[in-house]
This record gives sequence, structure tokens and C-alpha cells, in this order.
Amino acid sequence: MYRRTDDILQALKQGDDSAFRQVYEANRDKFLNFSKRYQLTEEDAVDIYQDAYIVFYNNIVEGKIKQFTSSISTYLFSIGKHLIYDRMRKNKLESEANFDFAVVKDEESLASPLDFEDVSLTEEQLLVQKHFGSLGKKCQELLTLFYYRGYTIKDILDLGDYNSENVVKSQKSRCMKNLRDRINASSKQYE
Amino acid sequence: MQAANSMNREDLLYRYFSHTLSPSQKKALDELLQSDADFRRQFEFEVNLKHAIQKTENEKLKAKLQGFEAEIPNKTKKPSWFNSRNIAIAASVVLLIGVAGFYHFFGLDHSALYEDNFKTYPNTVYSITRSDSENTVERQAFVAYETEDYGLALEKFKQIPADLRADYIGFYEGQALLNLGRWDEALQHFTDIVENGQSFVAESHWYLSLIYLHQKDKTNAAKHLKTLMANYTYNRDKAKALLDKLN
Repeated sequence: MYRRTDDILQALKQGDDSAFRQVYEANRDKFLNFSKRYQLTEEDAVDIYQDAYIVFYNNIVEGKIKQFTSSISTYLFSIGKHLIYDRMRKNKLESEANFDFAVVKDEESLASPLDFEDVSLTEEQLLVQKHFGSLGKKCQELLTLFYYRGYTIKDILDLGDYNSENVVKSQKSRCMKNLRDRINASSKQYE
Repeated sequence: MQAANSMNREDLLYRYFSHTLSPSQKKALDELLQSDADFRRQFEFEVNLKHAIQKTENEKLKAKLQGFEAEIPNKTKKPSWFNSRNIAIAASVVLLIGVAGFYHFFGLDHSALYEDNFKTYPNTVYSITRSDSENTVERQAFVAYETEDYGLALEKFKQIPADLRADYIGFYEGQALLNLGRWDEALQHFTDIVENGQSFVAESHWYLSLIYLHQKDKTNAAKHLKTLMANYTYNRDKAKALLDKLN
């Protein structure tokens, strides 16, 4: 069990599965309770909580949250609140709930540096995603460490799967070439 | 000079994506993006890749959270049969036959345990909604999979050309085989995944335990459940509950 929030932050940043689960479960019921005032079905509320949790997690992975200046649930709720509004707009629901802005107002400032972007991919990116998914497991892992986790070569070396910086670099080049070749081959196929 | 230049460019890109650009390197990157079309194309390709990986990771995270959620009912949510009338009936049954006699009376029903625990693994790897215009074999396979036409799905999975065959395909073939009741072939698929360390190793241990359970092989079922619990978080609570029942 992680007690200090900074330890939790570190564990999440490093991709620790049990921390990922622990934080999810620790804040779930509180969030579902909080979302009741917005007249959402429980299914929607869970769905939004999950999306908020993913945004929260990505912000940690990308280093946008470097330390917690407030409790974890405050971050999660401020993200969740934005997503609830989005969902209600989408559902075209004119909620009669009295939004308790007093509760969430202080969290608003926290929310500003966070990234709420719902990533919907362009055609080109979808093509890249498709071929990325067809790469071998090792390439997918390595490129994910580089581009998603923002690891340096040294960080990757510290994980212990590679012997030297050059091995990491050349493996990455091979993976990138492989990916480009697959994309090129498939676009030729459709020409 | 040319080589030094290209090293420099690679290095700038690498530093951009690892968030380690110094202010002067940031300036150099911006200038190159303005002046060099090839460099800009490479940069854009890598930005696209970053978004694609991000999306892939988000899909995996979502599936993982849905997995957690599926395990939560026991703790906080009340299943629909959990109403007072059913509890009263269950209590009467327990009273009639006695708690100790319960398992003795009914014995260990392998098929029932299998049915209780088996759930087809959802498609978490291939988004059907994307590239509607693109009718690849893989897409056809997952469309069939999602519409529970496992015979067709299996056929299509097998047609995917070797060079385009992602390493998760074996796992989904295994799922299709399970749904078709082709236990031995499914067993072989999941065993291969575990041995070769392909995608879905933890999940494969879970399905292997269910196959052995179905074959009334308690020892091997328990073995895979223990491996799963010792090394992974996937279905840990379910694995523990199932193991308790087997013992």
C-alpha cells in the first residue's frame, strides 16, 4: 500500500499496476456519489469516472502533474466535472440539478494546466495506429516508452532490457523503419 | 558535415519527445521546422505516432478499468438477484441442508464454475469504427468477432497475412475457439502465448485455468490461477475466489 501521495505519484508515473488500481478504487465511490447531483445514470457516471481517471493518469505520465498541491481526489474531481459537463452537453440534457459551483470553484484553477483533450485521430494517425498495432511486442513497448511515457534513452536503459545506449537507438531505428515500411506498403496497395 | 547534421536533427527530435530540449535547442528545432520540409515531415510523422500510441494506450487503460469494474460488484454493487426474497430462499436452503453439507450435497460442479467465470474477452485492440472505408481481413475478423460469429472470425483471423499479423491475433483466435467449444486447440493457443510472452499473457493464464476447469483437471487449473495471482493483477480477485472453490 502507498501512503504518501508523492509515492503514489511516482508509482503511477512508473506504470505500477497496483497503484493504478488502488487509486482508481480509492476514489471511485466518492466520485459516483459526487456525480449523483448531475442526474447521470450509474453507468454514465462510471464511464466518466474512468475517462477522468485516464486523463488524470496521462497528465501524470506526461509530467503535467509533477507533485500534488492538493489531494488526488481534488484533481480527479476537477477533471471529472469537465467531462460531466461535456457529457451533459452531448446528451442534450438540461439538467435541473443545482450545480454546486462553490464546491468545485476552488478546483477550477487546478484544472487549467491539465489536458482534457479527447484524442480523436486524423485519418493519417489512424493509419499509423493500425500499423503500430501490427508491430512486434518489443517494438510496441519501446516506442510506447519513447513517445507515450517520454522516457530518455537512459531511462529505458535503467529498465534493464537493453545493454547499451546504442542498442536502444538502433532498435528504435529498426522499429521506426519497420513501421514506415508497413505504412508505405499498405498505401501502395490502395493506390 | 551531412552526417553531423543529420545526427543533430535526430537528436533534436529525440530531445523534443523526451522533454529534454534546452532553450537554444528549442530555437534550433523551431527554425528547422520553418526552413526544412523534410525535417518537418519527419517531425509530423513522429507527432502522429505519439498521438496514435496515446490513443492505443488510452484504449488499453479503458479496458483495464472496465476489468476492475467487472470485479467490483462483489464489494459495493448489489447484483440483481441479491434481493431480500432470494436471500430468504437461499437462507432456507442453507438451513435445510446445513452449510457444511452444501458442497457435499452438490459436489464441485466444474461446468457450472466454468459457466460462472467464462466471459469472452472483448475486442480491445481493433477499433471497428475507425477506417470504415478500409475493408481489411483483420477488420472483417473483428467485425465478425464483435457480432459473435466466431466461426467466421476464426476463418478471417487465419487469413491475415503473416507480415500483417499482430501478436494479439493468437489470443483472439483462442477466444473464438473457446466459443466454438474447440477446447484442445484453444488450450494450445493460450499455451503458446504464455510460452512466447506474446500480448495477453496474464489473460491467457486465466483462460487456461478455465479450460482445465472445464476438463475437470483441478491441478492444472489451480496452477494457472496461482501463476496469475502471483504475477499479475488481471482478474486477481476472481482467481482467488475460484481457487478457494477448487480447494
